[in-house]
Amino acid sequence: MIEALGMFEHMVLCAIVRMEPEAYGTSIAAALEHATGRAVSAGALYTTLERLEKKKMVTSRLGAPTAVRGGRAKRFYHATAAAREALRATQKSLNLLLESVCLEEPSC
Amino acid sequence: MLNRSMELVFALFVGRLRAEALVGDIEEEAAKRGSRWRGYAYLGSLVSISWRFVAGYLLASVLGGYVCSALSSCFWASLNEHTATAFQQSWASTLSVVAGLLALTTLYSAIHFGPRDLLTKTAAAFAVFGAVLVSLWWRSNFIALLTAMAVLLTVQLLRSSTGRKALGVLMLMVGFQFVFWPLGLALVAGVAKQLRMISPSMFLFLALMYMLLVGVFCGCSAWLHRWMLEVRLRTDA
Repeated sequence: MIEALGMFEHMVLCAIVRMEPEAYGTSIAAALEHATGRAVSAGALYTTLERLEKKKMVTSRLGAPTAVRGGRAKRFYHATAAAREALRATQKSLNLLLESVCLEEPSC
Repeated sequence: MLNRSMELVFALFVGRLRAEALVGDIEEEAAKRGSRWRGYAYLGSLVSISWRFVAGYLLASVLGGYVCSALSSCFWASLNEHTATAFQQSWASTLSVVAGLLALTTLYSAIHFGPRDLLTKTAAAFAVFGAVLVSLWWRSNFIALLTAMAVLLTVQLLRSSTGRKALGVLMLMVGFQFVFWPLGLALVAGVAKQLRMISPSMFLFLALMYMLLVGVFCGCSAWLHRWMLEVRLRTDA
């Protein structure tokens, strides 16, 4: 069974899949900001990533420490097979729904 | 200095390694965005990772005291000669305590574990049944109907492994609270009496002990939830 995901969870998963294998907090936030045009709070992103880990949608591993981070390691995220399946199912549903929708108002 | 202390504070809620990664992300971005952004990012992150714990703790503090008074008044009502005889002899007083504990569990679980958590949904369903049953305790036809619905819900939950676990956690949490709140407060009061302290320090001592008691309740609830629902579900997957 595919676990129910919220809108922000979907967006974070898409960002992770796009950024892999370099998907970590800052790069995911930057990808989301670029796509939506809105700033993403580090706390909101972090709690979502933790929730996705609990749902077994992502796994994480620690990278090497860097100087710009004050000697702290990056935590890289990787989307699991279940996450990819969930994204595929969402994409399929959206495509089916949007197929018959006319968004150009004058021609509808 | 700020990042070190924030790392320690974050580690209280998410563990040392995750706190390190989060602070590292903020520091990396703050190098580009400035110190004002850093301050907001730390504050926002702290609120995001701690609000469930803080709100759950405050709710448990308020409702725990209410549960103690409800428990004692219900038991006194069933013994008191001035209470209506029909109510004294009915199961409604005991069920009202259980419904109250189910409502507390629902609210606490909704805040601490989220509204879509299995425990929250199960507790909410049974809390509604309990509350309606108590409010219509003299209408035998409603009682029969609602009891049948509650039994059907239980059977439905027992059919799946996740449902059985949610039911198990709910029963343990309600049973635990039934004993925990009155016994905990009696213990706090007993210790205070033994120490024979003067009034202001007695008040402070009781308040601190109560806060500690609530902390034990929150810790036990989180442990029970993790042990039965999170870890076991992950093993099943």
